[in-house]
Amino acid sequence: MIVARSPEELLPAARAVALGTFDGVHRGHRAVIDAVRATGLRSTVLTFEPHPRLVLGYDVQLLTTLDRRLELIGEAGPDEVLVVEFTQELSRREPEAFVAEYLTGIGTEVVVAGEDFRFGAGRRGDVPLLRSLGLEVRPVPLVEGVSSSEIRELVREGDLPGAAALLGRPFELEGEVVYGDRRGGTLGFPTANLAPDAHLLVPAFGIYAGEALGHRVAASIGVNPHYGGSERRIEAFLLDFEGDLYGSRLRLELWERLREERAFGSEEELVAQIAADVEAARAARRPV
Amino acid sequence: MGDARISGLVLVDKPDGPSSFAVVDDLRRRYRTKAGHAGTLDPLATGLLLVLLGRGTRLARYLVGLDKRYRTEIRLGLRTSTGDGEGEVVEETAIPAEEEILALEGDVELPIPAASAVKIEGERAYKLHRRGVAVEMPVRASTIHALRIVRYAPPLVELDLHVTSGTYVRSIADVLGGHCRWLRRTAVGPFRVEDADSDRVLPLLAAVVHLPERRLDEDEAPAVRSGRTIPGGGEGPTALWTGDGELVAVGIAGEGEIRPETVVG
Repeated sequence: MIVARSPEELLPAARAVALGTFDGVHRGHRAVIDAVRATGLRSTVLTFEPHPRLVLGYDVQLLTTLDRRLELIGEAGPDEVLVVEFTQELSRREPEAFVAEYLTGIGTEVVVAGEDFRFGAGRRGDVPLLRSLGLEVRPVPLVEGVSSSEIRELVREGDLPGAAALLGRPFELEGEVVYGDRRGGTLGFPTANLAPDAHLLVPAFGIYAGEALGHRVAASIGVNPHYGGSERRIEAFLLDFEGDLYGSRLRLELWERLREERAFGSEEELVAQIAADVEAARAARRPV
Repeated sequence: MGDARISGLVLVDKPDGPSSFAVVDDLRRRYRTKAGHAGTLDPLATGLLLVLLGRGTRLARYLVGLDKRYRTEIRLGLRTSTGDGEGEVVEETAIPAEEEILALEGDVELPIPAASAVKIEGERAYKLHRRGVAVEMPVRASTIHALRIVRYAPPLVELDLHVTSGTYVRSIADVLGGHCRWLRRTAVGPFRVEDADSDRVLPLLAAVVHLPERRLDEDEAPAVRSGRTIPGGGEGPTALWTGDGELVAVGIAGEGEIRPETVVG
């Protein structure tokens, strides 16, 4: 898959294009990419970065970083992806000008888009407008109930098997391993303290089972109430792992929420609970 | 490798008049390298001609057989000996209605024009035709994927056609009882006449945009250059390229591996 950062980097060809932010590259997104590939034309995914809602000043918690998004789009198998920098200026562009630069200008003949697709200044661009500009618009295959916002909602509630079913793979949290309170080591469970990348969605506080670097993980997301913490921490204990992860990047798959976080009567009680969590993580099953 | 001269693909919008060969020859002189086209265009036709330069000429085999798109204006009611305005009128016919023209969409058997480059008993049909030798022209199975009437103004009709490789538009005019007044090729497979620019040499990778691709890592690229098979999925011709966008070869994929067929880089 070719990754282009501007229309000029694309090779001239007749194309079928899917447009969107594709955050999470969930089952619905993959169905759209499949539809583009099925046209037999050169298949192109046009995606925006940063997420338009962030540029427009709204808060949005993302399911994927750009790198991970491109990797997952690549797995879905289009010929190429065009990453368009989303700016305030672009959001105010007349829809006809947007189409001329990014669609007809790159040889687009077919666009796969939902009937409710809107773009450009005043959200005036829509499917009839695309058709009037000579583009063939094919409907997005319907994948019932799958949307990025639905997935975010499930993750916020801690329903990770539910999120995984819509994503078509487990939810992931990605970031850098940073120095933490170094408390886990003294309890016999050294953890990697993960600082997630900016704007990434973090699930509901609680204790989770998952996987990282091929090792089972028991992870705690929360403020460590036992120690009266107030800052959010994401701490992952990798089972049967020895090594130093400080400074490295880590992708953490989270499979299921084991329990809520809480304070304990004593440190012994806490340690016993952690040991039980570790066993539960060992027994956990990867969703989908 | 071992060839510092320019290699690539040029999309040319051929004007009315010169032969495809003349256009190729022009580019050969201009870039001082080997040049060849992938699919000829009649002198009287205009539109997209794919010209391969340097090592790119080896890629021609992957460009033949692509679907074509044409715009044409047909004079209905007058059949000519050539299917175009060059020949003599051989028959006056009834002018078909729009529905009759649209009914041609789909699989059709079309006679090969007498004035074509097809060989009949070892000789080019157009040479026989010029000598006045009347031959029974064979028919060829074609598929008209799409036929759109741009303008119907009898006795003239302008059509937009999307056809399989090897379909003669002059034959389509002939079966409609008319002849081509002009013909313009608007696309060859994924290549569009809108992108034509004879001053721009596109990279070799541009010539195989229609093929599935497989990216090579640092170890695989030299292996492919020396003709060694690499693991890979898919079926049929596959573009093998490196991360920096350089086409190394076209390989044939099958049974979990890809065998280099045409090494270019």
